[in-house]
Amino acid sequence: MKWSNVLAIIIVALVFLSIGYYAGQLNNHTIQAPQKIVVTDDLGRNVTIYLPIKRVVSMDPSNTQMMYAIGAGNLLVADTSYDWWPAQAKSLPKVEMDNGTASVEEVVSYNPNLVLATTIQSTQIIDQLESLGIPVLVLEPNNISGIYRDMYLLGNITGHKTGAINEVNYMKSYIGNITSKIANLPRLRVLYMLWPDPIYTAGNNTFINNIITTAGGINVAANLTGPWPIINNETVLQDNPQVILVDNDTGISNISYFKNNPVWENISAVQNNRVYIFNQTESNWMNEPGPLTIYAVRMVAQFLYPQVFNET
Amino acid sequence: MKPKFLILFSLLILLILNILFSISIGPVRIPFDSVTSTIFYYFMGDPYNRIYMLIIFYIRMPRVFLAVLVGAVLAISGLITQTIFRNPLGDPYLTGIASGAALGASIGFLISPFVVEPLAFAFAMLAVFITFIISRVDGEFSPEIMILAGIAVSFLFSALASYLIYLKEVNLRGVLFWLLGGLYGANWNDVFYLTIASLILFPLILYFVPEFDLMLMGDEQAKSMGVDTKRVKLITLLSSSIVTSFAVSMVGIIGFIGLVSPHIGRKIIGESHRFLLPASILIGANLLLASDTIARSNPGGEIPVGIITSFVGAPLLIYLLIRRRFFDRGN
Amino acid sequence: MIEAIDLSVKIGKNQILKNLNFVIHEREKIAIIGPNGAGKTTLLRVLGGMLPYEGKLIINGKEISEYRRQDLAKLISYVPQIFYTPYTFTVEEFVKMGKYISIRNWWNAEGIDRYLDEVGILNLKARYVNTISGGELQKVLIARALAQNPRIIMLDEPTSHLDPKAVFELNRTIINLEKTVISVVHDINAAFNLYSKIMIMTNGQLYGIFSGKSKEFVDAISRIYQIEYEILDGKFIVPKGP
Repeated sequence: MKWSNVLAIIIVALVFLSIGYYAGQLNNHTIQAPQKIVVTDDLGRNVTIYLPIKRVVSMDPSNTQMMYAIGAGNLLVADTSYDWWPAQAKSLPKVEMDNGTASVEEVVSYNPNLVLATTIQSTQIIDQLESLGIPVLVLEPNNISGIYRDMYLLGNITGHKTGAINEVNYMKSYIGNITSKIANLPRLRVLYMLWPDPIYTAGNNTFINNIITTAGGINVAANLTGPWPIINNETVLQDNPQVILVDNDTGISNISYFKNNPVWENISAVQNNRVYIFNQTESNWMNEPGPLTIYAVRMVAQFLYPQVFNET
Repeated sequence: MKPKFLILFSLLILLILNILFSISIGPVRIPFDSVTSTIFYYFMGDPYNRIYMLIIFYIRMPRVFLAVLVGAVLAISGLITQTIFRNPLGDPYLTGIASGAALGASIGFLISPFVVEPLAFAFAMLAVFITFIISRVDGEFSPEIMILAGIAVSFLFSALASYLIYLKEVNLRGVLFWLLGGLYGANWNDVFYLTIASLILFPLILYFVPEFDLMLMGDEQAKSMGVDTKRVKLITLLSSSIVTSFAVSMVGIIGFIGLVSPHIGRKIIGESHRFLLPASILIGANLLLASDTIARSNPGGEIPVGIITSFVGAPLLIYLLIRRRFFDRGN
Repeated sequence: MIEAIDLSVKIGKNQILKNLNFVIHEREKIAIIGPNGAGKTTLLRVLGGMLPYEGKLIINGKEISEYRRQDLAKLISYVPQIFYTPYTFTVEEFVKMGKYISIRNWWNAEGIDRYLDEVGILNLKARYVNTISGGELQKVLIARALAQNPRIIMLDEPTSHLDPKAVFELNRTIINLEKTVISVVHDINAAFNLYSKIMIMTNGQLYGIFSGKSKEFVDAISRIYQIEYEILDGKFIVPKGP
């Protein structure tokens, strides 16, 4: 046989194969469901959801927490090994995570009709689940009002509207109580430290920035670009933060890391011993947008303005 | 002065200007006259701006000198590798240093942040030794086998590092930030120890300048001209591996400098190592310093320096490749 | 003087040279001739100390394997088959490299012009070695070997890339060298006419050592290649018949 003939056969075969593939994809999108609504998630995607929602897999602790907070926790059939709050979340079956991303097979095996995710999951996993007809909502609020919006959204689709309204009102009043106490106090410059070397911090459009601002601080990194920028130590020296917040993951255990260092020891926060190193739970509060965020706000406000908060 | 000496001299002047320029710029804008007056007053014991002093003496200067040293180390190792292996793709990490260091760092983050650097160094050296042992044929290192052995060892070590990360036992954030590489935390200690290491190991490499040109002819010809190729390979590869591992343990894996500096050197000063070696060192130092200055001066926050080295180095190399004869290399 | 007693060489599992016995005296001109794969180049390499061997191989009263590299290089230089070099050295730099064993900083060496002149390439001095022709590169390699100033020069098919005039000149140069010359030769006429002794090798063994211009050599060649050669005018050997 001539090579050109072999080539022609291969090409024709490939063409048929690809037609079949795309036709199959079209088919997936024409499956009809009894009742459906279209909602917009935090990535701005329009997601078609089939009601009623019966089985939910959560692929992120913050999403799990929001579900429990609005009273929809009983719909969860699986969550992740990172989940820690509330206690029931720990006993749910786990979808195993490879490097923070879930295995599609495991998720599918729980037969969910809704999956909750954050951008930690790769887009391939989200696409793969959706091509299997499982809607995926990406809920990743980057400020506190975003948490309220996502809770209302979850309340609407799960039939826990009242639960969501109650939770949001509770959070609002909790935070309002804090902000009213510190409203007339001078605002303090704050450096948040995600990692010490290089100094990774939280930029302007992040959830952590919003917590710091709400709790009365000025994030010194707010003018840097990107959500998790590296801040140069000479910039830190110039900005001279009055308070430093240190994430638990940094491995820094006490203030001696900052003392006896020619650069750090000249910074106001270090000189006045105003370096706050989070424990694991506190770091979780800072990093998981959800019902526990109010504790993060309280924790930061309390640390910035100890004079107005009574010991509890 | 001969044209080649003139080129070396120009590269040295360029480096000095580069150092002065790099000390005077950064994310915090300090006017040039304030830089000079701060330095002057500091040494005269007169009152000076304390913040400026800290920025200049404790942040910029150690970082600038570390960039110069690391650039020099990467360039010299890259050149040695390219010469000994007679392979234009040679870079300092060919013998498994990068993945060895990555594995060491991963294990380090498993234990404590304070053992990351020593373990990165130890495992980089371990990778090098394994590569060396595998590539011994009839008591001599075979370049062909060493390239393959280096690749095999690299894959093995990075697979182990990836597995540790996969197991989630390791502080993922730490490893990822470390792998990106950079000169962020540079301090005088780093500069001091890397200077000592370079002062010990560079002469061991520079001593063999007469042999390097002959090595380019291939092992057999070099031998027939009287070169003890076994000794040259062992001492120079080992010295460059030790000093590179040391630099890598401090700043992580910074790519491209080691590959591109010798090539740029070749294009502007020719093949002969007595000029090419110092030229490569100066080019590497200039290149990494310039890249790091750009990386840290970005007003929107620092950019990992590896991105800049590629952005600066690649077009420079492409330009030189297109303009084949950059200078007349005749004597 | 070079003396080989039961010299054998193995590369991996392959026996390349088997039980060679020969003696080469000072200033002799030796041609090595034989079919492809007979082990000619291997013999040169083992004489140059590049390969491990069994048996004895003694040069100036000492085993080759016991020589330090630089001492051996003062005795023997090796002119390889021409090769492509991408490296941008000038002919002058290249030839000066031969001075390495006498002056470690060989680029300071002087008086290499006579070696260039000896092989007739003084005019190429400033050219880059990657821009000259194959024949010219061969001469450069010989000049470099001469610059080493050894007692013995080994050449691997030195005239194979040269034009007739250059072959003539180069052969004259080689034969007039005041050195021991061991040369792998393909041209049986050159071997017959120019060399004092001819070693014929087949299958890794020494077929025999013959004097130059001898009928025994022509007979041996005829047997090996199965072509009847005869001597014409005492100068040329040509195949018999049509």
